[in-house]
Order: sequence, then C-alpha cells, then structure tokens
Amino acid sequence: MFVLKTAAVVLLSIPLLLLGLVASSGLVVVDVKPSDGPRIVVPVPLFLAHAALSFAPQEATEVEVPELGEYSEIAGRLVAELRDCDDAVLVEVDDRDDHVLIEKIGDEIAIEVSSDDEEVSVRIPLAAAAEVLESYDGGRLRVAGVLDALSSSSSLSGTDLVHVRSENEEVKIWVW
Amino acid sequence: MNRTVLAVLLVLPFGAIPLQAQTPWIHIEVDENEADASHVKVNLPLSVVQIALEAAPEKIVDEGRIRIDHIDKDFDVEDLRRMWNELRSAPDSELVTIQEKEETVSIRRQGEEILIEVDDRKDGGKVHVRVPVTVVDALFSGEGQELNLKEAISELKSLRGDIVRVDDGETKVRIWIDEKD
Repeated sequence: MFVLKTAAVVLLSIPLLLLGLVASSGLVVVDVKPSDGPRIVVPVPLFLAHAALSFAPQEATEVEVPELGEYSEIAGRLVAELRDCDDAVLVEVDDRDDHVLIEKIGDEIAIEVSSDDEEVSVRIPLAAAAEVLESYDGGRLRVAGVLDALSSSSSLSGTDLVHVRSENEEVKIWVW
Repeated sequence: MNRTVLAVLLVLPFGAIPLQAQTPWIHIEVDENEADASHVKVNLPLSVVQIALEAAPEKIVDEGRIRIDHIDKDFDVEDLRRMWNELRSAPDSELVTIQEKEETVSIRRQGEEILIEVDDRKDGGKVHVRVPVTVVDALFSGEGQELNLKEAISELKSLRGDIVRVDDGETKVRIWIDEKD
C-alpha cells in the first residue's frame, strides 16, 4: 500500500514539476496561421531548450554574428542609455502607403511597420537585449544567453515579441 | 522668518532635482507640403545620438571625427577652420552677405551665436540656422580635413530651442533641442 501511495505521489509530482519548470523558466510559443492551411502552434519550454543545448554539439550552442564585433560594446551602451530615458516616440515615418513607428515603452522598444499588405510588430525587451549583448563573446552569441534573457525577462510574459500579418499568413512569437 | 528660511533650504535640493535630471533631446521634423506627402519625426536623447555616432563606419567618422575630403574635393575644412579662427573673435556683425538677384545669403554673429539665413526669392525657400559659437569651435577642433562631430554634439547638450529651420516651399525641416521627449 505504501509503495502504491509513493508511486502515485511520484507520478502526480512529475507533471506538477514540469508545470513548475515551465512556469519558472518560461515558454516560447510560435504560432503560424496560413490563410489556406492548418494552423501550426509550437510551444517550446525554455527549460527543455536549455536541456537540449547541453547535449548539442558546440557549434550549435553559438551563433556567429561577426558583424556585431566591434559594435557590441557600443550597442550595450546604447541599450543602457535607452533604458534610462523616458518613454517616447523615437521615430515616426508616414510615407503615403507605409507607416513606421518606433517607440520606447517602459523597458521595451516597440517597432511597428504597416503597409497596404503587411503589418509587422516587434517588441524588443531592453533588459533581454542587454543580457544577449553581454553574452556576446569573440564574434559569437551564446544561444544559452539568449534563452537566459528570455527566461529572466519578467516583462515578456504574455507579450507578442513578433507579430507579422500579411494577406497569406499570420505569424506570432510570444513568451509566456 | 526662521521657518521660511528652513522651508526654503528644505525645498531647494528638491527643486534642483528636475534640473539635474533633465536630458536634452534632439527633435527632427520633416514635412512635405504636397498632398499625400511624407512626414518624418525623430526624437532622440542627445546621449543616444552621441553613442550611435561611434557606430558610424570608420572611413566616415573616426573617433567622432568626420573626414570631408573624400565627400567633396571643393569643400576645404582647413580653409573654413582658418576663416573661422579669424572671425570667431569678431563682435556682433554681419560676417558674410551674398546678395544675388534671386537669393540672399547672410551669415552674422549675434552674441554667442552664429545665424545663417538664406532667402530664395525665386522658389520662396527660406533657411534659418542657429549655431552657438562653442559648437562651431567644437566642430573645428579636429585636424586637417576633419570635423569633430562628437565634440559638437557634446556642446549641443547645453543648447535649447531651434537649431535649423528650412522651408523651401515643398518641404519643411525643423531641428530643435529641448528637454521634452
């Protein structure tokens, strides 16, 4: 009887533990809705991505971004300066068919681009951007650093990081 | 009386806080006059502009200094610097006036500022540029064909109000600095 009870507790605790891990580390959801096809939703628990990284070959754990090279330090300072400044519309362009809006809202930079046939909305959490830039080393971005940034940025919860809407499809990437 | 003095002493540091915290922002507005026209608005803290300048390609801006010689061979920064060194100590006066049939260009010193005005009577265009002497000094603090943009932007931090106003009949451009975002 005792063994059965223990087994039941262990079995019940596994999904709870998983739920706890997802809740604490976060979940990235990729949601693709084509106009003429099935909707694809891919939830990626960040703790699983982290775990998978530890088994991945070294070259898969880093992304080469040599272009950032000398600018990473400047980009880091830019992010810090933007985090310090007040909320504001930084750039607004109205060009007949296109509208571009770059805004600082709280600890995020929100970019919205709309044209006749497409709408793009991107939110860049500045805290996460700072963390990603800190993980940049020798021309490479550590994927783990990006995942850490996504996990630790509490402001991201429920936010659409990327939202693209066109005639053919709608793509959303959000963090929970 | 003592209470008033005490109150003033207590309030003073708090009154000083907004002044210390005020960050200068540069604003750029470009508006086309025609129907269906483009409108551009840029609002950035000057500190951000200063850092962003460091990311400009080295062949254009090196350590905040812009080299002009590869852009326009006729634009000689050294000549301009020499001219500026001669003119900078001049009292308030008209420094340069070019009067043509359809256009008048005037550069004059007014207090600690240089005012540049262009009046294009043919197309109805007007240009008004206001630059503090300290900014021009900073701009020419480079060597040879270099303009020191980094220092010039640093000097702009103490300026408030309109710097550039252009209205050429088709497009209006306004660049100004204030503490509002």
